[in-house]
Amino acid sequence: MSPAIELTAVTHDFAAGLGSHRVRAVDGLTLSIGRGEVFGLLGPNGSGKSTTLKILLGLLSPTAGEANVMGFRSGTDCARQQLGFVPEAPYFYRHLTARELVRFYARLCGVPRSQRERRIEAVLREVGLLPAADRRIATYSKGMLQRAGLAQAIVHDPAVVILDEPSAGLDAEGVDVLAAALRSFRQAGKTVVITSHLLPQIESWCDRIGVLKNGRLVFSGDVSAIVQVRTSYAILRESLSGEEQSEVEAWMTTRTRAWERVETRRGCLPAVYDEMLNERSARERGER
Amino acid sequence: MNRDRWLQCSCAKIWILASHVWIEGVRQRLLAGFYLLFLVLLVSSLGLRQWHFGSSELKFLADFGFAAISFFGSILTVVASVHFFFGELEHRTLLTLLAKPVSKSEFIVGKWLGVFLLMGAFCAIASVSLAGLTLARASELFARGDSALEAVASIETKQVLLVGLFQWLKFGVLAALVLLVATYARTALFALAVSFLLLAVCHLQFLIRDAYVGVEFVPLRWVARGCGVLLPNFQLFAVGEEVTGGNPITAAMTLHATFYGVGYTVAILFTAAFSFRGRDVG
Amino acid sequence: MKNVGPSGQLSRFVAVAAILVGVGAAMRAWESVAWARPRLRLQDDFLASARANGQGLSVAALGGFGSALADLAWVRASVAWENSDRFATTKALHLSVALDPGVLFFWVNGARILCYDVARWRIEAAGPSGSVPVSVRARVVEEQAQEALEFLRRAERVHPGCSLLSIEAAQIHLHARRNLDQATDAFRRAAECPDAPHFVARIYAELLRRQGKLREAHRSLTIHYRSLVENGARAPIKTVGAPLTEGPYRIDRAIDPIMVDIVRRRITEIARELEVSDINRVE
Repeated sequence: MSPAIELTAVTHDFAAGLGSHRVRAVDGLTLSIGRGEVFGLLGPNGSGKSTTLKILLGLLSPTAGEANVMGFRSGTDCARQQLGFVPEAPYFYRHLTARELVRFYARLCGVPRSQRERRIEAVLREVGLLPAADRRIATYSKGMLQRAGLAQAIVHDPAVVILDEPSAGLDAEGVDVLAAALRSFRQAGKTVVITSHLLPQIESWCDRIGVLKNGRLVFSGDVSAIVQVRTSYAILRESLSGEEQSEVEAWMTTRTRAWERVETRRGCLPAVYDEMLNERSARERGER
Repeated sequence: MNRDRWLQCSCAKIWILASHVWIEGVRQRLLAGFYLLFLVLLVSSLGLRQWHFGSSELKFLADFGFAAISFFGSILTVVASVHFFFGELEHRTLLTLLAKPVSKSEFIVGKWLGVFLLMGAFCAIASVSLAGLTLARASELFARGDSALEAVASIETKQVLLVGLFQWLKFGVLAALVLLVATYARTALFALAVSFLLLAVCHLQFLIRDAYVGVEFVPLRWVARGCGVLLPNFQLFAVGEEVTGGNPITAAMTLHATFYGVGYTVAILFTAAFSFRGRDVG
Repeated sequence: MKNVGPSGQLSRFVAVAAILVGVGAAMRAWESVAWARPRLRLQDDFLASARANGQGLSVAALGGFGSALADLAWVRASVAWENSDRFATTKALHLSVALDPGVLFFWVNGARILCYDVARWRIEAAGPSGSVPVSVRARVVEEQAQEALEFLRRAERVHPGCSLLSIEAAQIHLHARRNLDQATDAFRRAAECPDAPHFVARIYAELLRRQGKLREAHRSLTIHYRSLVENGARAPIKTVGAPLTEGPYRIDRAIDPIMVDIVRRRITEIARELEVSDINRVE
């Protein structure tokens, strides 16, 4: 069985200005993503992530090499039929409602008429947009737009879902919805490709990652294996006086030389933020 | 329809894209706005009755009506075609659309068909309104009994509708031409400017051809010949003056113009699709 | 490998231009068929207007909007006419015939305005009623009549053989210039036009009678009567929505039995004056 995505020595050059000067955005990229994997594509800005995605989607043609999706050459109708795409900063037709938008894409993807409305209803429920399904998209918040993007990407039940910076600009609730959607994709056996700069999210969502730099793949591997190599242990205590700290250090030195340091770990905003929201919700429930 | 058959079915996808353009055009009140402008002009021409032009008033009404259909229709065609193409590019909805099993050719043809349907509605409503107005006014003039020298001969309803049909054919060719320009243009403003320029040149193409084809300066002669061959002749569709001049449009004329219009539309659309396929939209 | 650089764009542009040229060349033959009739009208307008006042290029360039702009110019002329503005009226009516020389309505009514209305305005501008000397009035009327006749001569270059223009010229000779000879001649030319209204022949005969040319009057009316009888008396055709069949202008040429009877009685009257007693020869 062919991998879900296979890139073989893919290169893409952009013309830059007049003359024959070109910018190489992707340079000899060879990458394989198995079926059912959640794959994170990482890299700094300008590393070629978006270009790679566009080649897979058929929006760009590789200058050299080959790109295949579920065994079909990228850019063909068969390949696109297997793909669902959630763009970065999604923008949809403002004059349509979410239901009409999803229906439009469902029709274009050939979802049979007999199943279409049921399928639309199901995906809108899955992304949590059913209450607002008949409102015009012009009235949607960013989070709702992202959900609409998810809905249109999966309405035709594609085998591969590509998400370009899906959590950019989302609040915590929006990220939770996204995470839930990714879990359901995984359960359904879909292959997912995500690009993001938010490494903690990539770490929690992805099975494997690939890192691009200057259009080249500099690293590819299993997330848990990479992280495991760097794993260290910490003993946490709420407070530690200077004398206690010296005692701990002395004891550690007698037990092992392989300890790194004693450090003060500051509280992190995400944790405090969650606590604040939970406290407020509890207070509101108590008042009622 | 199963998935495999669907993948083959371009016509269905083109129709879906066209109906999407139609819905957008109607909801954004593009059609209504231009029809309102047309109606205002037409109704204001009723002020002509204060001068008692007699049955010549019908000619005036028809002239104003035909000119309004041509003028507003041309503007609407250019603006709508540019808007529906560049709107997708600027808002990046084109990326989402082309990520579906929709080819660039289907996209171009679908956009064209949507604009063509919008213009068909405009021409139909406008020409029916004009025909109704001239018929009503002709009845009034006939009942009044006019000058001894002139029998009241109204502008025939069928002829008015045929003028509307000719304009629709022209708008079809124009929309295809605008989309061809759009496949090259980087901005909507550039596409608009070039499209309006082409509209003027296509109207004057016959004049350029006739005036400059015999000049001694060879490059100018070639430019004139090039204009004549490269661009369609829109003057061919301007048959309003034929009707008001007392020369009715015949079935043969209609057939010839239809063939000319359809032929050019298909050719230009093919060219636009070819051009767009070579354009990176990422 | 796809070439997306400037050379790729150039080759795409060249390919597109080549396709368009090919299509244009292929459609030329069909275009010449579809273009035949509209071209004729544009060429006529172009040539006519070029002869008329050298504005043919602008007329042809306006294409389908020429008619509407000509109508607007005529409306402007009408507004200026209501204000008795001689210069604005004259300028606007010259513009309207330049923009659309095919409209007879402009030529006929324009000539009337030039002959009668402008003359009146000039006389009124010369002084209060009664104070303007007769010689001045006569001179103004003659000048305006000549201007109107020149206007109609220009119209005849665009509409050769049009009886309405000859009728208008004849009316100017008769009513403005009070020149019976030239009026009679003009009505004769009008009567000879194939599309002349039937009353023209009667007027021509009447003018001949007034000049004492009874035999000529009788002969011309008799010839006219015979043509009426040959064509057959039929009811007038006047229905809203009837197609245009009489060329670019509308003339009531319906023949009815009453008209035939009028002509016969007129012939009888002239014959009595000639002391011709054999009515049966006429019948």
